[in-house]
Parts: sequence; C-alpha cells; structure tokens
Amino acid sequence: MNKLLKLAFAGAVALSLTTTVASADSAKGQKLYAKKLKKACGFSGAKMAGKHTQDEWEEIQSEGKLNDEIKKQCGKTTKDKYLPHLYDFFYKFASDSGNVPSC
Amino acid sequence: MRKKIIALSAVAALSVNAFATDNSDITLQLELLKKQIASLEKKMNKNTKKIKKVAKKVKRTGKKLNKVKAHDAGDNIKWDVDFRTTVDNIDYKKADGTHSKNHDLLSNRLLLNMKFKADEKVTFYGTLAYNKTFGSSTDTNPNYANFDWITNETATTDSTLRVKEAYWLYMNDTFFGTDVSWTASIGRRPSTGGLGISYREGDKPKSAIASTVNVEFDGASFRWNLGNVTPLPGAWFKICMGRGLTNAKPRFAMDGTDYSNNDMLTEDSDMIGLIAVPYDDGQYSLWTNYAQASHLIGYDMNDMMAFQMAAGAYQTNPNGTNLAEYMNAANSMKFQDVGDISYTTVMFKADGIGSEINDFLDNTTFFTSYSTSKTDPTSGKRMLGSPDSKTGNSIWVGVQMPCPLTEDGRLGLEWNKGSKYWRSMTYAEDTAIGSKIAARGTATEVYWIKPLTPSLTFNARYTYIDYDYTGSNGFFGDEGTPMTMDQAKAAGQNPVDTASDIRASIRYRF
Repeated sequence: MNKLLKLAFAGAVALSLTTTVASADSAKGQKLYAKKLKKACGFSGAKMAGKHTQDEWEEIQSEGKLNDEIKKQCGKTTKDKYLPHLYDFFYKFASDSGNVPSC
Repeated sequence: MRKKIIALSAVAALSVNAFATDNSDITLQLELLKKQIASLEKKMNKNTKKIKKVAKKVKRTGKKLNKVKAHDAGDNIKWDVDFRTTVDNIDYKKADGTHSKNHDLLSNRLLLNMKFKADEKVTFYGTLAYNKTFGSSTDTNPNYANFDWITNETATTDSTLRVKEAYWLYMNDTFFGTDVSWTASIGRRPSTGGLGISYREGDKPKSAIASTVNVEFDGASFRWNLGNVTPLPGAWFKICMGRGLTNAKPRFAMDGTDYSNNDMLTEDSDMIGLIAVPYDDGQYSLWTNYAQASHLIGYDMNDMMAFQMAAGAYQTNPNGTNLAEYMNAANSMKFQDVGDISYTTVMFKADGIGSEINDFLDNTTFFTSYSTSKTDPTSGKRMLGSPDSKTGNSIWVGVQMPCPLTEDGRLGLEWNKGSKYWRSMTYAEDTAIGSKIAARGTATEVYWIKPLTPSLTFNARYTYIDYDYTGSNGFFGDEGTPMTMDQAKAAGQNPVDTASDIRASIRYRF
C-alpha cells in the first residue's frame, strides 16, 4: 500500500478509536418512530414532529412528559430508552425548525 | 324623661370611653398600615424601574429581530454541506498478467444540498455538486467522463460546478377524497445513491433501487401510499419516468432549426419504471421494481474494429496519413439505437434483526436482492453482441452492523454476483474501479464508517471485483459483448481480469 494511503489510514484509525460521538441521534429517532410508533400514530414522523414548536418540545421533554405526549398523539407509549432519540428527531423537525425531513 | 336622659347620657359616656380606648388601637393600626403602604410603594417603584428596563430590552431585541428579518427575508433556500476528500489505491490486473495502477488517486467532492418548504404542500430540493481530482490532467481525451448520466459521480479534471439534483415535491394527504396520501415531483431526479448502495456511505437511500438503476436523469415521479386503505402495512407504489438521452439539435444549429430532432442521431432514450413496496412495518420491508428503457445506445462491431485498427496503426506509426485515418475512424464511431432493455428486482430489507433480542441485532441492517435484465434488440441490430434477446441476473447481499471495536462505528460486508449477460444501468455508482453492481463476475466489499465529530466522518473501504466476462460497464451494443478472459485474449484483447480499490475518506456534513 502506498505510503500516503498508509499514513492517512493509520492516522484516521487512531483518531477514530479515541473519539466517540454523542449517542442521542435524530436519525435514530426517525428510524425508531418508523419502527415503533408510525403504525399506532397513523401519520408520518414529519407530521408528528410538526405538532409542536421547538420550545414546546423542549418544555415537554424538560417536564418529563414526552411519553405522555406520545400517548396523547398515538394512543400508546414507548420505551424510555427510545425517548432521547425520539426527542432529538421531534426537536429537529419541529414546526418552527425550518428543517425539511427527507421524502 | 330625666331617667331617659340619664340613661342616654350614661350610654353616651360609656361609648365615648369605649371609643377613646379603640381610637388608640386604630391609630396604631393606621400607623402600621401607613408603614406597610410606604413599603409597598417602595417595592412598586423598584418593580416599575425593572419593568422599564425590561421594556427597553424588549425594544432593543425587537430592533435586532427586525435587522435579522431584513437580512434573511427572501432567503428561500436552506443549505447544508457535504464535502469529502478521498484517496484511492487502484490496481487492475489484466488477462496477460500485467497491472495498471494508480496508488494515490486524490479527489475532492462537494455537494451543496438545498431544501425549502415553500408552503404546506410543496417543497423544493436540489443538489449542486463538484467532484474533481487533485491537479489538472495531462490527458486531453477523457472519453465519456463527462457523460450526463455520471457527470457528478465521476472525478474529472475540471472544476465545473454542475447540478446533480433539482426538483420540487408536491405532497397531499388525500387523493380524490380517499385516505391515500400521494406525492408528485418533476426535475433532475434523485436517482443515484439509491437503496442498497447507500449503506456503505452511511447515507439515507435516494429514490431508485441501486441493484439496477444508479444514473442521473431528468424526469418525474408519482407516489401513492396505500397503508391506510389496504391491510398491507406501509404499502406504497411509485411510477418514475425520465429521459436519459435527447437528440435535439443544439442552439445555433447550422440549418437554423435549433432544438429540433436530429434525424441523423439516435432517437430520444426514455425510461419508465414502477417501484412497489407491498410490505413495510418499519423494520422488515419487501421492495419490487420493474423498469424499461428504450432506444438504448451502443456501437457496432465493424465500426469498433475499424477504429481499433486505425488507432493501432497510428500508435505504431504516428504519421499524417495514419492520423487522418484515426480521426476519420473516431468520427465514424457513432452511437446506434440498438434496442430496449427491461429490469426486474426483488429486494428484502431488515432494519434490525428480531425484536429487542440485544442491542447488536437491533442495530444491524441486512438486505438481499435478486435482479434480472432482458434485452430486446432492434431488428437488424445487436445488443450485448447478440441479435437475440438475452437475459442476465444478479444477486446482492449486504449486512451492516455495529463495529465491535468502537461505540459508534459501523462495519459492513457486501457481496454480489452477476451472470454473463447481466447489464445494469449503474454507471454512476461511486466506485472508482467501475460499478461493482454491474460486474459480470463476483464483487466483494468490506467497509468501516466511524463518526469523528457530529460533522466529520471517516470511511475506509476495500472493494474487489473478479470478472468472469468482459463488457460489464460498456454501453448496450457490441462493446458489451461478454467474453471469457481466454476468449478475449484469443481475440487479441487485454481486458481487466480483476480490480481492487482501497479507499479512505474523510467527510464533512452539517
């Protein structure tokens, strides 16, 4: 293998092994919504996220009422371990976020 | 009377005495009240001052907001950036055992993604792209590197910024009053980086199924979601159509008929396809696809042989006569309309294995597909070297799992095998050694994706292709004729037998 490639590879591998990117993830949240909630909710994740502004989602999350809100919209709750990812997704695509979910 | 007066006087005296005693209490209470009122007044004054301060702050903030509004009003595109630097170590082993290599092919790719939700029902999407090797080229004849189907997936030697995607998307929750949500879209399609090929890049899949279609084209798509009106969870279907080639004359045509059909060229080449997903529960899904492309292009064997002979003669003896013959042969090598092709695909995908068995399986993705291609040559022409209809097939299997060495890395393995007459339309696949999906042979790939920061990702990938037959990445005429390596050598050719690519890249996305 060429020297330049070896160096680039080794450097990147060393750097990679020492870093961990934070775990809550809106992409994961979007996937979880599709797998665990979409059927019960009856509408897309984008629609669910758009039901509140970012401030409202923030308030719901800080008051620990995210699962209550999910139950209100979808008629069922979900596991606590999914909530950080779902919150990230809802916040990212809230009605006033300006973000556009993928089609 | 007197008794009454005395009695009344006594009552009056008693009252005065009582009043005299209460009065001092009342005075005390009044004094206390006065003090309390004074204290309250003081507090109110303080609050009034605070309120005035807050009012001033609100006014200042309002002014700032107005400035921001004035600055950003009319900004009707949201941008995000995807920038990647790549180094490829490439090695082609020829049938005669020689190698063609490039140890350090360096390139930069920039994608500027645009989105804007203009109103409740309409969104605009677009991508501007730039993909360029480091440095200028010493090769003045880059062949088909700028072909429109692959123009943004090929690392060229110029710095032109091109449009990779640009389309609007209309969405509606009801279709003629039914509970069927639907979308419509026209523009330069998101037809590269589709389902299957997206995993190794850590991307979300775009519109097409990448086992058969991975090319840029301009067209339209219409999708209907049937999950609410059928017992099939998550079911939907989409019709896509587009134009891959146009024979319109350019502006300032010699005969003055700008943009009219040029009858001396092949006809417009169009494609129409149907993607149907009968089942998608968010974890497991089944995808099917049928597509048909018409008036496909290719070369005639006689023209190719004449060109090769002229090229060989010029290389051996670069004189004026040979140069003229070489240029003449090159000009005569025109595309011909050789016929149509149809594709079918069935793909199964699992986002997570089982139901919460463990975190590893929850975060593992598996997919497998089976695809066919079938030619329909125009009368008197040959497709893939044959005047008869030929069918090819391809199997593709892939898995992506959490990396056991790191907390957030992903490790992937993919394998695909194509048959003798397999011909996909995957020219825009982002593989430096040529589309692995198009291989008439076996392709194996292993990759590792590791996020470094929320915006930087490192990707390492090894791809190995072992060709059983020639012509995997050609067009649809005689240049796509499948020959074994021995047959090709016997015919005086020296095709690529195996190819490998070790790729490392760092990508910025935010």
